Amino acid sequence: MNNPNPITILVAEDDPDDRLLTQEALAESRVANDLRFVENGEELMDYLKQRGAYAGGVNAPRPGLILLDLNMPKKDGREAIAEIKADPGLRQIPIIILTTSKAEEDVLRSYELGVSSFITKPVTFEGLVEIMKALGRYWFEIVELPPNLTGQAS
Amino acid sequence: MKRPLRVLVVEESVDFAARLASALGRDPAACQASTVHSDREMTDYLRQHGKYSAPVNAPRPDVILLDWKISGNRGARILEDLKKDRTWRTVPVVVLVAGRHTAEVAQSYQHGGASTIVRPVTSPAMEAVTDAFVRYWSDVVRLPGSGHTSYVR
Repeated sequence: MNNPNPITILVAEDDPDDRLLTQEALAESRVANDLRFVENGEELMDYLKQRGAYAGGVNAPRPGLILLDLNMPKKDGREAIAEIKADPGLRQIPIIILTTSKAEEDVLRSYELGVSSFITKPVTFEGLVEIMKALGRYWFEIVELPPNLTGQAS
Repeated sequence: MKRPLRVLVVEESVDFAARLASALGRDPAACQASTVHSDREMTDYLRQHGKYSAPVNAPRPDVILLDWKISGNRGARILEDLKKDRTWRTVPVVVLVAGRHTAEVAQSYQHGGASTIVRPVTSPAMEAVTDAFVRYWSDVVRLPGSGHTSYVR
């Protein structure tokens, strides 16, 4: 895809190896988006609310999609989802859970909190590439993402 | 073996709903779609009332595909009601809108839609959309209580 203004994907993941795997799987599946990473729930909220290290929106383009790990330090995924979905300026951004968990309780709780999808990460890299291909095709070729409301984040 | 993905198509146009359901159910082992054509019929389906009183005629959907303009532009209201209802709030609702760059797109996400798709009009668009839709919701995503096992091998 030759998109001059690629949609930003924000990946919230505390494990550096998993961050690298996600990045490589997205590259391998030719999802040519602007990828950004945050390492915990607090950094995720700072990014989205353009605070702290992201004050003034420096290096924090509004994401079109958030890929979120449930278990993160400081503020975990569940808290972050609740906070995002309670914020009228942020709640439009679709959140996709990308986790190793298969627990039905995690699945239910996540949908209850308002995530768009829950994805259990496959164990192999090839499996992850397949997932990213189908994810990219659905979200970036089929779906209409919310319009960019830069500056309206509250 | 996992069972087919169950989609409830909530779409006012009987013809368009039938086209969608048939394209979604191209491979019946992957996806089976039911159709309703108004908010009231949707409610009957979900509550298994009236002509849907036999549960076999109204299986619980894994995903709801909702026409935003249905029943006199009631998509937003329907979506809000679903998201307030403890029985239904965990079911992802994918919203069908008339066009890109419309106010409907923002509204659909604001009201809790899982994702938003522009109504596919041409046959190739219909095929591309339903194909990617079934693949994503059936093979990639884990849905509550659906027994969908995604790619984990």
